[in-house]
Amino acid sequence: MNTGKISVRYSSALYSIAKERGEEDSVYEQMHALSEAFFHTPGMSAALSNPMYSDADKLQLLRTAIGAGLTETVDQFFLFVVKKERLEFMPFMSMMYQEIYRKDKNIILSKVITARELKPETLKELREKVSKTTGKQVVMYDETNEDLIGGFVLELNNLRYDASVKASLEKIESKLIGK
Amino acid sequence: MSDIKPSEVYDILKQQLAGMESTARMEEVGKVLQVKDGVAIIFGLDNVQANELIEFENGMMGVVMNLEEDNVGAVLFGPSENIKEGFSVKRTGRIASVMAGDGLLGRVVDTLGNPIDGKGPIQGQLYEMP
Repeated sequence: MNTGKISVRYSSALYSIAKERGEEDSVYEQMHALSEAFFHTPGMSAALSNPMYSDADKLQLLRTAIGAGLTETVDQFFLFVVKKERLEFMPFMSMMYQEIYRKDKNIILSKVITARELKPETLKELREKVSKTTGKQVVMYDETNEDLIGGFVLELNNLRYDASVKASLEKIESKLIGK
Repeated sequence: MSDIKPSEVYDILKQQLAGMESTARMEEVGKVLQVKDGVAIIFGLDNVQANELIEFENGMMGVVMNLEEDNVGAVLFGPSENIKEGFSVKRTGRIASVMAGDGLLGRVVDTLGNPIDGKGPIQGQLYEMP
């Protein structure tokens, strides 16, 4: 299975065209919305490779996932992918486009998860600190999860730093039961 | 019933927790893109090795079998129904192996070599294979 080769080629081509048209930011937002739909809608990616659904149905599914923000560039891309019978690779293409975009723009995607909501000034300070440490522009999202009890979890692209109380307690538990 | 002194409990806990790494470390994580037929396709995990064990956010384990440019394929050590798209998964740094030795004779173990027959831990000297 050449998932990697196919998704990299298609997403690279999409990025080139989007950049030529000055739409790379807009396409990034659409690809982000599409990948979020794949992650949070069970069975959506499986539907794209299901022969029981027509190409028209699959196309409508993708258009609905992006919603009102769908541009002509992305719609034309969908039609091209349908024509080439590569719809099953769309989840990978959407993720790969975001990777290519962030690499080209020198952006690092970051998420901080805390047990209680962070103040905007704290989030700003954290963003600046991460930006200074990594030397990149930081796009930071924050999320609240009471299960952490305390501390925080910091995600930077594909790296995670878990300094939560929950993780510490789990470590202690593993040590005590000899896991 | 004899009184349990707090200092005794403290000493036992201290002994049990000796050598435990208390500081957090950076972990490499990925996200599940697709799951079907006992295989999960994961985006991320750029530096994962072939046959490395990975851990899903619900505690289930898997082993990396397929390394592609933008994703990895992993065989699940449990039912596919328990893994959903969007689940995060992290590297363990350990290559899949089993502990082998005479103590395994007559025992029932799971895919990771953990005893599941209710007869306690595997006894005797064990060797990591491969």
